[in-house]
Amino acid sequence: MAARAAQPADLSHLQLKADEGVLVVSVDTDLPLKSMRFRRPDQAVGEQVAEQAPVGRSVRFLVLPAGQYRWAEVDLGGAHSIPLDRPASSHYEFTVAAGKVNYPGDFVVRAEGGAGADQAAASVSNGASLADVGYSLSLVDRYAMLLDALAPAQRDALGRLGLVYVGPGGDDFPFYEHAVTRGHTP
Amino acid sequence: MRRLAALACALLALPAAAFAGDPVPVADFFRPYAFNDARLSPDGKLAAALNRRDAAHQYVSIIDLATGTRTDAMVTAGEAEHFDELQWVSDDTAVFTDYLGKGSHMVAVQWRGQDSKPRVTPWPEGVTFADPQQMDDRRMLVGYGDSLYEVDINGDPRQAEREENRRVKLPGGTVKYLQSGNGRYRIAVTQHADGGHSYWWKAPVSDWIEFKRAAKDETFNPVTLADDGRTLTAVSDLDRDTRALFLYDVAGGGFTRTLLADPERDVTYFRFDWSTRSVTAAGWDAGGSPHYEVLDPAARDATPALAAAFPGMDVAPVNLSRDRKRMLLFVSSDRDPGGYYALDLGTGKAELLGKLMPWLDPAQFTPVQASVLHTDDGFALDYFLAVPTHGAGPYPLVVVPHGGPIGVFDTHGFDSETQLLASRGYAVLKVNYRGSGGSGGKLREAGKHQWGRKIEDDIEAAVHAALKDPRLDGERVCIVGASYGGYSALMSVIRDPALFKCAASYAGVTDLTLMYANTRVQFDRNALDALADVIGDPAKDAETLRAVSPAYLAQKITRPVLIAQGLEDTRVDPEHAYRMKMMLDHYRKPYEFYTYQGEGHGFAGAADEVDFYTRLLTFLGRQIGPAPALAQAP
Repeated sequence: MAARAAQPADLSHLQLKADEGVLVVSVDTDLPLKSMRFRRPDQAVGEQVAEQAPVGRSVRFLVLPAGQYRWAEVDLGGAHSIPLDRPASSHYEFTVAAGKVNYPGDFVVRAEGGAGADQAAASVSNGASLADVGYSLSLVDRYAMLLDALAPAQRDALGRLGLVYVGPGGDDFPFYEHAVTRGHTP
Repeated sequence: MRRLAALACALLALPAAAFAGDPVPVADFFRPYAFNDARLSPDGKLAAALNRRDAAHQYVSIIDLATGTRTDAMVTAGEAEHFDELQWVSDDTAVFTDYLGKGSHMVAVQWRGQDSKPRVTPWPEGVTFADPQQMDDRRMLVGYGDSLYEVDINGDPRQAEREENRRVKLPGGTVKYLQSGNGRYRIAVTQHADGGHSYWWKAPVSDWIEFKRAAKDETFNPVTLADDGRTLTAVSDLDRDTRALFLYDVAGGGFTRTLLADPERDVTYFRFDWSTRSVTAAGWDAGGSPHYEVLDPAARDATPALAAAFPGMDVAPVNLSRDRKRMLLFVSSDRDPGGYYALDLGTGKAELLGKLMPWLDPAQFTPVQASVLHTDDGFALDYFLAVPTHGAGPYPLVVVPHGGPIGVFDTHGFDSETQLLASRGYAVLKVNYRGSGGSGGKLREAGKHQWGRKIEDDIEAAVHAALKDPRLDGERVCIVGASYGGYSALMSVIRDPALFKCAASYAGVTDLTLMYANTRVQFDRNALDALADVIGDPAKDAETLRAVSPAYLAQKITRPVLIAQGLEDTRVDPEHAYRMKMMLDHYRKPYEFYTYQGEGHGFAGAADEVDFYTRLLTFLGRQIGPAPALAQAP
């Protein structure tokens, strides 16, 4: 079953089926990304796709069946892509919990090598390889920055659904912050 | 040495310390150095230095010492993060490394006489300087890929990729290379995934032989290999607490002689000289009196005269000419950013070649007093206090813990941040708390897992010791720092709001467990191990780590705080600052919050650095105020 997109404005009245969860795809990139692809860990086919991430910071929400997934590839368009399943690593795996908003961290993509982000983006679009341009990609827990970038109503909606961090390293802060903002002392 | 003495007198004849008129502009403390990383040419006829006139242009300055003529050649246009490691590879050509983003380029600059522009040759990315070989044969050794190539110094840069120039394949993971006898004997150092190192030796007829291993916490740093092919000069702390300079026999597998050692101080400074292929000088920072020893026999006799010729100044030998008749010196002090002098060892005449920050007048600045604090558990901690000599006290105190926290240390030497704050009427305190480097392994190790605990105990103890000085106002104390220093500032104001009336953090850690929540660390075994070693295990120690994380303790903040952060920081991710902001917002605490686009863990752009310090001064002024007399100054 394919993921379906949920607009930030829809979050406050989002209806999830019993076996569905929300995946946050948050990106901060120097290079325009065509898509971020992910799949079930035990399946080579049936990829799910988060489309288009422009230069800068962007956030989208996908509704999809709960379960285990792993990031497979970041696609820059043309012949350029960044595979994420070599070497196989659990750091790119994540679990989508039913009834929750699941945040696996921000994709942070940077052009490297000193040419400058604009020039690097132009070079890639003109056919230069990623290896020539130089880039770095990391998955980083930016929970507070994610909430800071959202409108208050959207933050409230995420809080109501329950936002959990499912990315590399683990993080208890969202539980703590969630409890504190609701007046509970953890 | 009479002329040296005369020069010293001339230095002392600068205007007397006074605070007349406007203080030095903030921007003047953060301008790029005008003359830095200088080296004397092997024949002693030229000196070269790097300078960065603005963010976009880097230059190499070459001085003809016979005429005093200086020629500047623009070597890079572009926003290089930094460039350094200038070395002469022949009598007329120097190379240095230009760091652009995560890449680096070796650039060669050839002096072609006063009437010609120096020739500037950028080498392909990935080519690194390895060894100048014979200084007079116009060949040098460079690293490229997994091998070393012998190339013509001023030839086609693509020659580094040609098979016929390949001389030797290095062991995988080589991080350092040495040779002697023009490549007859070779040493390579490789790094393991666990942070330890292996040491390899190679003779002409042998393959690489591993002759030593060192664990990640052990220091064994080879500096030079003698012509006999077996005697290494190395800095090491194996079997002792402090790092010392030794001779080590590769064949026999042991230390044979101690060249320089101190029971309380690490050898942190040593100058290897390509011209003589020896360690010219070595030393350590001993609180308020840095100690340098000239080890080269031909130049050793100059040491007492050097100290006498520059009274009150720190005199550090830099390098020697091949004939040992000329030596380059770096002379600086707590009030003087320093300058380079060419010293004629025969006549004793020293000539100023260039100063790092010639627009600053040392007479305007504040002396720094070094003291030692003895802790209850037996450590001796250096601390440094600068108390303004202008305006009227008692002065408010700004405490500035250094970053790190492990292995980093402050010194008595010139510090722009200290002098900026002192120029605005603040006393400034820096302390080498437990975990700091330079004073042996026990002190360095004692800081591990002490975030928010004994490290901050040490800082508080130093503040109380400093406040015994009647010139300071104990009711007006603020704490300011970057990286670990920013963390420490936030923790200190949480721990003791009665002592600290405000805190400012740049790039400060606010959640210790967050350090692990990214693939940058999770994919890097060394980084993971280093964090666990210094901070703690994120799984086993999670509760302990949260108990000393400012983002979890924001409710306890009762004093104003300033949070600033570079948005491209990959060491302390901007998320740390945003977590703190989120919790300060929740508890409705007073704070100021500033982010800097494009800045990383430190400031690359002078404009951003000036902006930060301007905001910091405003913040400090509001919270603890300048000294009364300064408040009335124009």
